[in-house]
Amino acid sequence: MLVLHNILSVAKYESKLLVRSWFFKVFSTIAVLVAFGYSLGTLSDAGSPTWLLRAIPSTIPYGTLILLNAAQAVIAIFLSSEFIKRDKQLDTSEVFYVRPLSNAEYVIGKTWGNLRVFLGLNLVILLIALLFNLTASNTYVDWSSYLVYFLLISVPTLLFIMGMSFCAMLLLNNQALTFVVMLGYVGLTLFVIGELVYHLFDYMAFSLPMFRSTIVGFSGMEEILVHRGMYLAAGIGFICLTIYLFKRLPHAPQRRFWWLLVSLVFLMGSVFLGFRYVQRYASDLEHRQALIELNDQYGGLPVMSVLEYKMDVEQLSDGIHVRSRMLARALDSARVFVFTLNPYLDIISVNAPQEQVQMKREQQIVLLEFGREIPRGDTLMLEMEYRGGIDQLLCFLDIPEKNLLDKNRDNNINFAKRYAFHKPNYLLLTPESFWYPRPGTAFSTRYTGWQQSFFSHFDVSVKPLPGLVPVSQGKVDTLSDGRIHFLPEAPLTGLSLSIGQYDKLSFRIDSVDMEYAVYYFKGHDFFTRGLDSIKKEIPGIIHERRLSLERDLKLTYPFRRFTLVEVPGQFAAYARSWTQAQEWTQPEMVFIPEMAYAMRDAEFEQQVKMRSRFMREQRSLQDRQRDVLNNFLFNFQRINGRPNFQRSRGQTSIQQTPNPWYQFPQFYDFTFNLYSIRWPVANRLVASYLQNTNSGVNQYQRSLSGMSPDEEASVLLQEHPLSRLLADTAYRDRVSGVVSLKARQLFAYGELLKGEEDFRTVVSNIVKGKPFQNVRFESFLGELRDSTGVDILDRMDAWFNVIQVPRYIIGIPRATRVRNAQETRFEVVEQITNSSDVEGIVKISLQYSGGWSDSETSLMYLAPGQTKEIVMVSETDPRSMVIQTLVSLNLPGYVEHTFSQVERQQRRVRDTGQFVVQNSALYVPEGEIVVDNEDEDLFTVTTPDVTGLLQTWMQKADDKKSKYSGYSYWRAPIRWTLVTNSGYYGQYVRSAHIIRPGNGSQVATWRVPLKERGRYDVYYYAYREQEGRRFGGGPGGQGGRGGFGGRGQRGEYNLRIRQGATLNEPASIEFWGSAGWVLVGTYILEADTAYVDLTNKAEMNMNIVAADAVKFVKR
Amino acid sequence: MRLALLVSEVEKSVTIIAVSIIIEGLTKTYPNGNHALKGINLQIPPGMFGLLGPNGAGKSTLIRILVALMEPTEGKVTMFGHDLRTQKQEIRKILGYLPQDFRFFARYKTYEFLDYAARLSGMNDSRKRKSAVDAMLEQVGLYEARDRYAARLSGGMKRRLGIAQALIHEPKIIIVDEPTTGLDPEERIRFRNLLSQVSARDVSIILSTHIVGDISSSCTSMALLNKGEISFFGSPEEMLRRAEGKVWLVRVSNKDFKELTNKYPVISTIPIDDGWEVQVVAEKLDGFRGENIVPNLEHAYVYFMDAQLNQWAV
Repeated sequence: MLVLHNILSVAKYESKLLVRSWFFKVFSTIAVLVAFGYSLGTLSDAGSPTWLLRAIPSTIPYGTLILLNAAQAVIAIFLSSEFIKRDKQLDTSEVFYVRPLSNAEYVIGKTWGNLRVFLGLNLVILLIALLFNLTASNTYVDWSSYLVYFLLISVPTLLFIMGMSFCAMLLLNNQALTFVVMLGYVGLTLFVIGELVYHLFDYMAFSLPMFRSTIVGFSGMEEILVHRGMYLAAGIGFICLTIYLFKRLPHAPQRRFWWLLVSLVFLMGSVFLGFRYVQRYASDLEHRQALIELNDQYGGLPVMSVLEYKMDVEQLSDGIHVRSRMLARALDSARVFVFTLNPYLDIISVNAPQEQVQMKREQQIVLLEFGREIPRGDTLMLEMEYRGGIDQLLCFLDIPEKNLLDKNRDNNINFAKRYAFHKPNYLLLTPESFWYPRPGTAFSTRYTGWQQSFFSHFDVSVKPLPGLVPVSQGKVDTLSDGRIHFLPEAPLTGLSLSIGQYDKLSFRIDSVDMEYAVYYFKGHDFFTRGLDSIKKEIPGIIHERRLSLERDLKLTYPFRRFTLVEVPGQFAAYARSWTQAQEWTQPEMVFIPEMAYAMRDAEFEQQVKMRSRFMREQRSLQDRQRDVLNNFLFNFQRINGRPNFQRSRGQTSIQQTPNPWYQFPQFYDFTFNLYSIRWPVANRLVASYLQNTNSGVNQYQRSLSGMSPDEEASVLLQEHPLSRLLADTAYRDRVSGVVSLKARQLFAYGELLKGEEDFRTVVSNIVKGKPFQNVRFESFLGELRDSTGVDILDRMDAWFNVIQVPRYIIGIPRATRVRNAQETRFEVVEQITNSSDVEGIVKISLQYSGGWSDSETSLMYLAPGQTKEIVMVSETDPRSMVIQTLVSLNLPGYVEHTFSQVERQQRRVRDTGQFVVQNSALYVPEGEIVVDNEDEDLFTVTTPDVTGLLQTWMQKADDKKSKYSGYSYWRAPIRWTLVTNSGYYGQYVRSAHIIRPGNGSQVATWRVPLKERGRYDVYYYAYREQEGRRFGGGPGGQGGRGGFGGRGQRGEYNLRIRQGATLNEPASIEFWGSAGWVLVGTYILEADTAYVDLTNKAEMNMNIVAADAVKFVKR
Repeated sequence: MRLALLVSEVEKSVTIIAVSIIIEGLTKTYPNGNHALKGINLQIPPGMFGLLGPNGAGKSTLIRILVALMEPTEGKVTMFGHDLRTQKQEIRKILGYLPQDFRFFARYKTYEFLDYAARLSGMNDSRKRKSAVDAMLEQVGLYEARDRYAARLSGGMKRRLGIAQALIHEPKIIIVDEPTTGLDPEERIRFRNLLSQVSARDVSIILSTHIVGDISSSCTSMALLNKGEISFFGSPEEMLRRAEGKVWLVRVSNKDFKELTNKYPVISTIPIDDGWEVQVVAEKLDGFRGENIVPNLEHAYVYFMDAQLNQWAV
């Protein structure tokens, strides 16, 4: 009792001190204000409510505490090290040291005194969150989460950092040094090592996945407990060590050593837990590697395709029990065939009526050895019975570890990643989990056949656990014994099964025999609110969106159902290179994460409210509800997810990821199957071509990122053939862009001969003629050749395996208004030279002033070294010309020229068409010397002195992966930075070094070797990007031809020409917009190197100074 | 020889009175080699005990060892039968301590400071503790300032708060280190009186000081510590007695003044018409004429300090 009394006494007065310290007062006030602001902003209607927090209210305490935790971890260090410093400094402390309390009571009392104040602050913050939680609409209070997250996040963090600070203070004996060391540790864990070794060092739980689903609760609770337990034990260990180290004579010396012992026990316990935590992940990864090695071992064995599956599935509390009958066809003649079944599913029996069959099982591999060789094409019946759970390590074996371990974060909530669930109250199995025997193996590093999926007919009966509802594909019936029967009308590439406490909402469109349904967890019917005024219209709107998608894609939705199925928030999937389908999308079914938390449009009621608040235009409630529904439905139509703008070190970049709910796979990937062992990307290649996704470039995104996806792909293809890029997982993030570009490049040869639209129609028709069939890609190409005469098969090997990258010199298109006696026409002439030794195709689009749809597109084939001129004639005036160079060495790969001046001539209009030009005028003419900023030997820039931490940090923003940087027009770089823009000069790469205007201290210098003495006209290539301009790079010049263009914005550059000791007077040039070559002056120069200096000085209000190119023309 | 005599003297005196603290062969050597205490032996009786010595004599080291803030290098201390080495908790229960410097406080109010001290001394009954704290505040004259932050009290008030916290749990031993340093005369007298009142109870008070007046006004026994050793142990009267006949008043001319002051330890010098009236300590005057005067404790202190310095047998 006395012990407790002493501890509480010390704690009481330590708390008083902490609460009275200004530092804590300021911190707690700020913390309360931030928590208030956070809750107001994310939960209240007065702010901008975050759907995730309201949808899954366990995230409210989670998000709030994570926010607080990082800050309090820092403050706790200071305040807890303070007590030891204070005890040392205050002579009055000694009167407490002579009291009959033990060191342990004193230290524990002090710790508890500090801790309870912080815990109190946490509770206050949680109370604020709770008050907002209680008053927020469309949510409820998850009471237990408030306690659970408090215990999981706050308690271990505070104990650990306090204990560690105490020890550090006692060992270092200096508060300032302790603070610096501990702050360094916090910074290290937060920014450097926090995410290493599976978040082992993340003592704040900042990145540790701790999302708690309303359906399945925590995922990986054991890992979470071990992780948090590790820090809790370490914290207690450090506090015991503090008792040992505490500089006050103990009551009895031997007791001190007991505390050392206890401390060591806890610290070793912490190390043990840490080891166990890491071991768990490490053994998982080892196991995963073993699974891949097995696939490598058996991936080359013959495969059967399964034509039909008839499955009886019984849900167990810890998995499933399945009896499966399969009609399989041998794809090769063999005795042994390989199948894959999840290793946690134990096979009870395997039979093949009328055949002798023996089964060999090794983890996921199921080898069936028959008593005879099964001839290719023969079919046979197989029966297999198995039961068990799911080893999710078998899923996504092709995804690199790094991506598997990447954070899955939304706002500041970290989600664990789960690919399958089998809990007593919920089960989710997708084909990725291999919950039924699938032919062949999963990912193999040695074979490519694993990517291949085949169509199979499914017939499934499911006996769920009481009270649960199964959801799968196909027509649903309830059998006499209560089992639920699913019978898909069409063969599928895979079957998924979800069983939970589902409610269903659906409607039918009888005219097309179509059912639209939503399966949502009981109580998750939030979406019914907010659309009440258009209730009757909803079926029509949804069906119309489907038809609109069909029109856009020129493909038909092939299924009789479209079902949204809610799944727990931890469900995760990854984009693949060979298909656009992610596991989120299954045939006739789309998984929606719990409460659609990731879809901000899903909270209809709130969206309708927001629209009434923010939209200027007064729209009726019905209109707003229609808008909101349409917005939500757009989630299924968008190719990419919303661009993710990220600011780092003052620079903005854009990350774009594929939209997992994009419904194209329903129309294509689940309907058509072009397969090829040689070119495993065949199906996606055709899909990508038919999607025709590249209709332009978002220049704003491009300027921020530095390169468009096409250009990034093009740059990669300059160094690697497609086969290499597909095989190397390092490029998997960019494979989508590469395949898209390569698809356009491949089929451009067909378009060249048959016309773009016609050729695309032929391709589409051939594909559409073979729904739900496994078609060899080679057969498809043969049919294409027969229909069009275009033999793509011949090109395939080179296209796939060889680096073939042409480069072009692109002329400046000329627009002329030609008038003669008969007519007035607009004539546009453009010259392009292929200066490489490989053939190439460019796409030329002429836009007329009649609007975006008023345009004409041509493809131009250029043999190696060939120059061609295209003449286009129209009745309406041309507005702009866009030249896309597809796979090429050119940057930008999308050059746009706006016709701001049209010459007038009276003559005969030229014939339209493409003409070979024998002597290209696009090379730099004799007598002209051009030095571009790309000439590394002849162009240099100064580097500014970097002073101060902030500048050094900002400077690091320039560290980049590619040669060409992105930039923001509004925030130009502080040092010369290489960027591309079609407005800049360049023979192949239109680039400039740009910098923020300044005092003239930064200089770019061109060295121009002159062979002879004489008078030279010196020109500078001037271009100023238009403010506010977002699309189109503006008119560009080309290799060495004169400038032109619209007025644009006025710009100014300060240059100086020097040679030897001769320093000419500085010259200032003024120009408008895309001026092109602007005369700087005429100089008498010797036969020596001349220098042109451009400074970053600019009197005018310019955002960017661009060092581009200089030209010397001898008079 | 001299030390042996001293010890036997001490032993002689303690045999006739009760002993609350026994110090045997207490030695403290700091890591830098400084011998702060050199085998001290003391038997401290109940009542007010004065520990007198110049700055640097080792008083604070001895005090810090006695209050269990510091471990001695060698030796043994027993307080009311408890061995300081092994029974610190028991000793801390019966101990009240006022350190030498008592100025810098954590952000506690006067009342809180005392309450905290009371709590840590094992007073867990909150009502009793409250009344004890209030009574103690009354006693030391700080009741009116009970809600004032301790750091804002005057120097004297802080010292009173210090003694209050040392007394709050009614300890058997009270150790006060240089309690009157820096106090104005009025506060000093007030503080001494307070200690005297406390000493009337059945407690031992060890008053460590370098101010002779603190001892003379209140202590029944005392020790003189110099350079880590005990120069004298006994009652103040005994110390005076020993100094009798050793304090001289000498009148000298200006010419002889220098010689006199160089030769003998000087207690005071007063200028007179034709020279100086000088008080010195000496076994006997050699070459000067003077008269013995009745020594006070200050004289005795100088006598003992000087005796030790000159290796006299005292």
